[in-house]
Parts: sequence; structure tokens; C-alpha cells
Amino acid sequence: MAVDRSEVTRIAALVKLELEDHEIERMTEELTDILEHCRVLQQVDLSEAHRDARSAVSAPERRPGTLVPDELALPLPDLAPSHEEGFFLVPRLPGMDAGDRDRGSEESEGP
Amino acid sequence: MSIREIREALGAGSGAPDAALAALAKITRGESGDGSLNAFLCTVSEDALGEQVARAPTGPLVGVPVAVKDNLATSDLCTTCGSRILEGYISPYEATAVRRLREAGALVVGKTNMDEFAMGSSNENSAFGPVRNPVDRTRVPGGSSGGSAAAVAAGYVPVALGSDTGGSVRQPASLCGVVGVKPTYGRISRYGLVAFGSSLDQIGVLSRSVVDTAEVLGVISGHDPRDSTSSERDVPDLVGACSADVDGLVIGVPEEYFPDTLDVDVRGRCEAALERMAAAGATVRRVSLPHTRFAIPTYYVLATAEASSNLARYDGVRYGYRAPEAASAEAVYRRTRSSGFGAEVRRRIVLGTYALSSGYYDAYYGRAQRVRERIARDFSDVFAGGVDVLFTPTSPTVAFPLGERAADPVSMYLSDVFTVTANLANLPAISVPVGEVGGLPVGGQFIGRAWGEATLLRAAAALERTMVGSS
Repeated sequence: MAVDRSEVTRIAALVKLELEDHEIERMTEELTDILEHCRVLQQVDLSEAHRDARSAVSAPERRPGTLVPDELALPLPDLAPSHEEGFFLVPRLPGMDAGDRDRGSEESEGP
Repeated sequence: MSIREIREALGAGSGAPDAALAALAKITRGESGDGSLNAFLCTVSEDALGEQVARAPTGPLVGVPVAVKDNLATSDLCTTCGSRILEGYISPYEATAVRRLREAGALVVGKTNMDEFAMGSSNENSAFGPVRNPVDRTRVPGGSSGGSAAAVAAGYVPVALGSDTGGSVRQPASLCGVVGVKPTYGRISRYGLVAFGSSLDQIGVLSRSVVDTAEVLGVISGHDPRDSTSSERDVPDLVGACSADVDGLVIGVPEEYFPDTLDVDVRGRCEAALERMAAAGATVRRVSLPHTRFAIPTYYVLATAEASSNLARYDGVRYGYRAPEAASAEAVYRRTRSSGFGAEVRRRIVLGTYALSSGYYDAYYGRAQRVRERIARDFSDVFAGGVDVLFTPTSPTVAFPLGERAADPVSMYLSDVFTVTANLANLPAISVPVGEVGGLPVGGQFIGRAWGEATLLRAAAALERTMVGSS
């Protein structure tokens, strides 16, 4: 299956990647090659006759589904140098609302 | 020095840090100047090593210097995953595997170079430059745990940790001529292992002998409440398993792993290894794993889909690097990710998102999930038929020249053709040196039943003994 430029551009925007024109060109070709290789998956017989309800993949063993609060590995101050009322403070992002500016802007070295 | 030799030296009165100080000196010498291996991204100072020694308890690995792949969280050294986007990041906590090493007395001497976010088979995808193979510095060490494999092969350290999502411990072990094991999914806690493909990732061990590998594997295995997928099963006596003979052991040899196109010398070394195992008392039986040819596309659809989700967290806000001069929050995200991730990571994020997107999900991700079941079923059928372990080549070729496959992703992905199946089926597997071709190492791979690490190591140690006998 051939991938076209518009599809690569759309997905790049979705995953928040900026690609130059030449990168879009190259990635379009590479994805087409890779997906061509993946087409072989369509040949696998997955009909009902071959279906087995039991999973053959050695599934991870799961702990009981009891909900308990996760304990932090370290006290909060050790995990995050800057925090306030249970929230981690991070470097200020441009373009945030003016009303947010009082909060966190001076503590910009958070994780 | 082996772990046993370090232990004996301690018993003879040599101080605990001697081996670690010697390792640091070797790394400093070996990693300086043109043509260095570039195996390490950071190392501890002698002072920091002294502090580790002062804190280290007396355990089975006392005084043993270890190297740790740079996607395992350490609280005293960088954790960059070989990526610009995590440059300068130091984790506030430690991976459980690292903590258990330290609790056993081991001394972490440095973090090893790797393909960015463990995406690669040659270590050429590191943002900090490629690792060179110590056997031939014009060639790749394999990947993505190439720094760990090179560090062990060069004799810098007796043991190193890696991670294995599709062969990233076993393939570099094969190309560098060392032992590398990936246990059953769930045997080792993934807590503190930076996620790539969460349903496939496992921490593994590289060393110069099967018994050293077994010793370290035993130390870091076992349940961890911080990883809900870690097993509560008891860890068997893995070191003891290494001294058992192989009388009556049934070794399956899957025909799909010995295709006509396989390098004739790689085939020859593996066939010779099987003959030696048969001479040692094992029974060799030809078997079939018919869905093997679907493994690479299955793996690359599933692993990239999982990676595209796992790597969404790197946005310039929470970790490490942030692109400068962005005018809005959206621009911070885009520019940080675009300049922070390398080409292979960007490619896999786009591919994985494509496979998950509306209109393609059923054709790619959904179908790959079901084919994964078929691949795993092949293994369970063969094991149900009485086979104890399977034997295959680890890699279809010996170490290839740097740059040879860098421009061809599909060719690079095919480097993993014999290793991805163990991850897809969540099975344990180990690579052991079986000889050389033109001076370059060849590895043979055993794949075991789920939770069958003891049998896996028993077979690997027996093969290793036959190699010693043949050299």
C-alpha cells in the first residue's frame, strides 16, 4: 500500500513532529517500503477454523485487581524540586493565559 | 575477571573496589582518543565509586563492576536513552534491577551507549555517535544494547545490563562474541526501564560466560510490586542449572531459521554446535514454526504502535531538553520533539501512529495482534510435542560494516529476523558464541519454554563447555 505525502503530513501533525519537505518525501518512500513488507500479514489465515480461544502468548501474570493508592518511590520533594499543593511545577510555556503567570514562573527548574 | 575470580580475590584479601577501579581505568584508557569504542555515555568518578563501596552491602556480587544500559534509571548518573530529548536528565529514582544489583554488592561504573530509545540493530541510531565493535572497529556491535555488548567484549566490565524488545540483548551479544540472555516476560521487573514496546520489553544480562549471566540474572529476577507484570513465581537455582549435563535434553531445530538464503558460514557454525550438543548427550529433532516469516512485520507493527504511545510523554515540559525560541505551547511540543528525536525514532512514531489510525487499525495493528497469537501457538505446539529448547542462529550474519544498512530501514529490520519471535511469544532466549567467521563472532540462540530459564541456561552452559573443548 502506497502512503502519500498528505497522510505523512497529517500523522506528523498528530504526533507533534515538524518535518521539512525533504523529510516528508523520504519518510513517504520509507513508510511505503515498510508497509509493503507488512502486507504479508494479509496472507495469514485467521479464519474461524484456525481460531483458538486460549492465548498462546505467555501472558504476564497479573496481581489481584484491588485498587489501592500507589505509594511514591520517593517523597514528593525528592521527585520534584518544585511543587505546590500536590502539583509539579514545570518551566513556563509560552502563550499561557496571563492569569497563570503568577504561579510557577519563578520556579522554572522543575523536572 | 569473572564474578568467581573477583569473589576469590576478595577472599584472598584484595579490597572490594579493586576490580571496579581497574574497570574504570580500562574504560578511561579505552574510551579516549580517535577510534574509541564509544561504549559509554557517562561513568562514575573515583570519588563516587568510593561512596558506592562505602554503602555497598556484602552480597553475592560484592565488588563486581557492572555497566548499565542508558535506558535504565539510575539516580546518580545520566539516563538519556541515547537521545537528545533526554540529554542531561537524571532520574530521581532507580530501576529495580539496578537497585537489586547494588543490594547484592555490585558497583555501577557507568551507563552504556545505545540506539536511541532502543530503536535499532546496529547502535548507529544513538544521538551520541555509534558504538564500534571491539572485535573489528570498522563494524557495528549490533543493537540496541551495543554499548553494553562492546563493554563486556572489550573486557571493561565482566557484566552489563541491557534491554531486549526484539533481540536487543541477544543480537549484539552475538555480534560481539559474548553471552546475552532475555528472560521470560515478567521474570525481571521493568520498573525504571524506559518504555519502548511495553508488551515486549525485558531487561537482559550480557557477560562473558553463561554462569556469570546466570548469577546476575538470578539476582535481578523476581517479583516487584512496582511492576504489575512482574511474576510472583519463585526464581529457580540458575547457577546450579549451569553445571547439569544435557543427557536426554531434546533440542528442536526449526527449519524456518535455517533458510537456503542463510549465510553458509553462519549455518556451518550452528550445525557444528548442534553436532557437539548431540555428542554431549542431547537429542536433536527437526521441527517447524510455520508462522516465522510473519514475525518481522508483526513485530514492527506492534512495537512501533506501542512506541508511538510511550514516546508521547516527551514534550519538552517534563523531561530533559526543550527547544528554544518557541512562541507557543504547541510550538514547544513540536520543536522539542522534532529536534530532540532522531530520524529512526521519528520514523517509528509516524509508522506506529499510522498503524493505529482509523481506517488502518484492523489491517495492521489488529491483524498483527492476532498473528502474534499464531506465532506463539507455533512455539507452544512444539514444546507440547516434547521439545525442551529450540536452537537457531542468533543473527543471519556476522557484524556488518558501519553504515552498510543505515539508509535502508527494511534491511536493518531484517537483522532481527531470528530474535523477535521470542519477544512476541514472551519466551526466554539466550545467545551463546558458537565460533567465528573471518575472525568475527557467530552466536547461536536457545529459546526456552516460558519460565524455563533453568533449562535454557543448562543447554547454553553445556554448549559453552563444548566450545571450550573445541578451541
